[in-house]
Amino acid sequence: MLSNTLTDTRTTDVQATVVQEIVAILDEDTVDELGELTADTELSALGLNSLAFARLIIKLERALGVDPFSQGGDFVALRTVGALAGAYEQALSARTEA
Amino acid sequence: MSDTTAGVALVSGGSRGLGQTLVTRLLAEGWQVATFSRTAGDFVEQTLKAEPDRFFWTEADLLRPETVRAAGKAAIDRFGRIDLLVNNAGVLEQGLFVTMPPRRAEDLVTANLTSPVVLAQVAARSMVASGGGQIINISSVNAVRGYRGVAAYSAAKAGLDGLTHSLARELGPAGIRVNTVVPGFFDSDMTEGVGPEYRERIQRRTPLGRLGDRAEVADAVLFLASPRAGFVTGQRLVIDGGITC
Ligand SMILES: NC(=O)c1ccc[n+]([C@@H]2O[C@H](COP(=O)([O-])OP(=O)(O)OC[C@H]3O[C@@H](n4cnc5c(N)ncnc54)[C@H](OP(=O)(O)O)[C@@H]3O)[C@@H](O)[C@H]2O)c1
Repeated sequence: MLSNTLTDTRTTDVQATVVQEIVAILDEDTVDELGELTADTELSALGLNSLAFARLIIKLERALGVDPFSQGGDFVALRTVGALAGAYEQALSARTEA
Repeated sequence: MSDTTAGVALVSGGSRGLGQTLVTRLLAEGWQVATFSRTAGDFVEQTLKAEPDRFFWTEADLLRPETVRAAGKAAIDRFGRIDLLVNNAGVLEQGLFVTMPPRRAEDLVTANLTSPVVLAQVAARSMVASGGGQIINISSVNAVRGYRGVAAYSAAKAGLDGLTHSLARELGPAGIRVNTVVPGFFDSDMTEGVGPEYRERIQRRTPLGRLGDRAEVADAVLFLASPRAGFVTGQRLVIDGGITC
């Protein structure tokens, strides 16, 4: 669903999972309104309140096995869907290296 | 919740006392039940044999919150989610506050407040993801009225009340109800060491003139857990024969 050029397969997977989980918690009207989510879609455009955002983070932890914000990382600073996916990619590669 | 069961309950300290009564009653009502304690004991061994598919026990110590977190996660691994958390396990040690070893006072707060907070977080994360649930914290009349010899325990139990109120506000929009059950004095291993004189004094001061029974406290927990209490959150239900009234 992401229209950016993506090369690394794992990157594609992570971003696809992030998009999939976002779509799962949005209501249908919002999904219709937003159209296709891209890496550039602003998180603020999703209209998620803080609890819904927390739900997204919890579901992503289940799906991807990491929570980049468990040590108090700042997701408020992330502006786009791509940046959110990037945080998971970083957390996953940090775990692989550890 | 799945179609086959009432849901998944996690009851801390289900090996004895009120926890044992809750495990038995929840299983009878069709719940899948996970619990933990420091030791398994006869009840846990028997229930594991009788209900291998619906009952799960693991070892954890309230004095080590990381083991409590692990027990919560193990319950989720086993049953997939948590729909009901009963923060039941507690540790009581009586003694004059001014002469209590500082470490002991800290331990009482860790066991009766820090660990329940940790468990509530594990459970709430599961409930937020699955779209709802409930948390019931077991406090004590010691958190409502002052009693000698239980200062650190009372402080921790009153802390649980604060947890209930704030979580009810924060998690209500996620379909999660959070309440406190406040038992008065009832017979269990915890109160075994209490002398007959003290017992009589409590009975005298209790409008209903007797000690409570675990089943009566369990009734209140099961009521709050049921759809009959579907519009109740952030509340304290006191089951004490009137001693605090
Ligand atoms: N009894 C009363 O009169 C009374 C009055 C007001 C409030 N309460 C509250 O009601 C709740 C239940 O009390 P109860 O009388 O049923 O207690 P209990 O008979 O002493 O049972 C406590 C349960 O918690 C477990 N537990 C104790 N210490 C633990 C630890 N360090 N780590 C992990 N598990 C531990 C015990 O198993 P293990 O020992 O094997 O670990 C047992 O399963 C408690 O929160 C208590 O504060 C009781």
